Amino acid sequence: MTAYIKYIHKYIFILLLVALPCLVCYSTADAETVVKDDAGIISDSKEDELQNLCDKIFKEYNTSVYIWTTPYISGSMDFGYEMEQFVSAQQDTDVIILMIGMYPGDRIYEIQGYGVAKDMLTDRRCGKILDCMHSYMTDGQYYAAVEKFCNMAYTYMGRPPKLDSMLFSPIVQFILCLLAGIVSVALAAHNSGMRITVNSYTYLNKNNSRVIGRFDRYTHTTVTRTPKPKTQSGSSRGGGGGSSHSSGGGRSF
Amino acid sequence: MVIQYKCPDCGADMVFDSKTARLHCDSCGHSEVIEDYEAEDFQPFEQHFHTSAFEGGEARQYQCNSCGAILLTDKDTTATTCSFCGSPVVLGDRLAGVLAPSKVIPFAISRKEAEAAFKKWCHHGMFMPRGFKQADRIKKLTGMYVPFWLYDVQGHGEAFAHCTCIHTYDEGDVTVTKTSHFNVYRKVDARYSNIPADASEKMPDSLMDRLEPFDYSNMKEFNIPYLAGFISEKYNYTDKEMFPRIQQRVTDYMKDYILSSIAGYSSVHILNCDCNIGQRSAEYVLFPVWMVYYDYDHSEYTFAMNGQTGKIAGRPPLSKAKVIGSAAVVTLALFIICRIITVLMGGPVL
Repeated sequence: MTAYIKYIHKYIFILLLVALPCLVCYSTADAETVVKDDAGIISDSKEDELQNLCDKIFKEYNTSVYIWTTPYISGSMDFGYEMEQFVSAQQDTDVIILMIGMYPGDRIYEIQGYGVAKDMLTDRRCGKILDCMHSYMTDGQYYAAVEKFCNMAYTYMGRPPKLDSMLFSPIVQFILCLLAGIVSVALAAHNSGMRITVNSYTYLNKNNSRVIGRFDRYTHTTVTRTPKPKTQSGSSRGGGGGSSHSSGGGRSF
Repeated sequence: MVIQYKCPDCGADMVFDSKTARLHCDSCGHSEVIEDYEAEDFQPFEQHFHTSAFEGGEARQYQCNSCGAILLTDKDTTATTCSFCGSPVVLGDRLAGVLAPSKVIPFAISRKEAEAAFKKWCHHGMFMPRGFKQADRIKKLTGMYVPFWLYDVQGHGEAFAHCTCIHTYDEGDVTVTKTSHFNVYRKVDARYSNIPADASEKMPDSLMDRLEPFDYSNMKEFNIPYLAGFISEKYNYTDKEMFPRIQQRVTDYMKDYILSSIAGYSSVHILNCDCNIGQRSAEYVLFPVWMVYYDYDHSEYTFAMNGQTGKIAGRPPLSKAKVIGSAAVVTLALFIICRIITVLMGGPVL
């Protein structure tokens, strides 16, 4: 009996896993998005607002968004596997999933991207969204956290991952352009009328110039090994590359 | 000894014509080939010469053959015009012996062309004030033969350098960087020919250096008629006195030459470089320069124009508004290009 109680949340989760696709199929008929707050951490009125945010992503990028909060999922379960099972039951191929497990003492939240969303919401981006949500999650501001997720997902879906570099930021680009503009004009103004048009080779008599002595002696080789930067950090778990989806690895809070 | 070239047809003064490269009489249009005036051929013209009457201090007095006026010249002047009648005069005694130039590059740009070229240059000056760009305040435009030493030097240099070859590759989750280190040595012999150095103390080196390069293919054996109608000066510094400047310049050239011989490395760090520069020969030559004196905003600006190629050197006034405006335009253009690239790569407009 104790063992039954211990694993009851898993059984309920499996039941939900079977039930949710039906719900999703029903919902996709009009909106292609699902906000299912089984854990009751988001008020009904706020759910509608989240639904609108998710619809925005669907309309713009034809990618469904599933947001599911449940009191039965814990971090000790194979979280990634459960989510994959859930997704494989869906009809949609382009899906973003945010799942929040509120099992007492073992709360976890995770983002996964499938299809187009896998390419756009890379592991790194998922991790970044999870990190941005973290302070809200720990403070109990769940709506703000999910809203943050929706907004960031919307932004990332419209911008290829290769543009995540700081060099593509408008502010950084403007500052660099400003510096380049100032330096180039200052140099041009300084050299105005004072340009030197001869170089080291203008007066070189090539027929009578040559290298008469040389050696290139190898001395030694140094080897440095640098670990490649990883996307996951902190208390993340699960997830990973090489699979059918992208993932932030999940976070405990 | 004052030399003036009189037209054999009408007796008027003849001057060097940059268009035809001949002595030309503006009065009757008669012209004479300069190459015909060999050194021994000066004799027939000496009947027109008057030798200087007296001299004192650094300045020296000559008498103009045309009007008889006294010409008071600077100690360095070798050719000028009579300040009374405007006749071109060449002071032959200052172009003899060790003061005789061996070669000359004749003017290829006439006064009119020089003025037009200067106006065009001002007009295209991006940062110049609007008033300056009109180029209507040319105070004086003087054609001058500036004395230069033309050096032929031999350089020996050797350098030790530490070089590396860097090879990077991935090995599982690790990026491996292999850096191979080399001790590199180079010894070079380099010859540099016809490096010019301005030998006049009046001419700013910063301006004269920027008139280079001159086209030596048009350099002629020196002949006095080339100076007719222009101002000319003799050198103030001997080739030995000017040589340290050439040494410094050639040392920099040789460092570049040595560096260019070290190829194929990811990085090159010169540890020690030693260059010895020796003078092989030095020729005393005269190069054509148009000096432009320009008045603007209560200041006089001096520009020099290469009388052969038309290249202009000089520091014009800058318009702050234009400099700031240009920086803004460049910034905006670069920013737009950056954003276009970003959008083409799939990013947002802003």
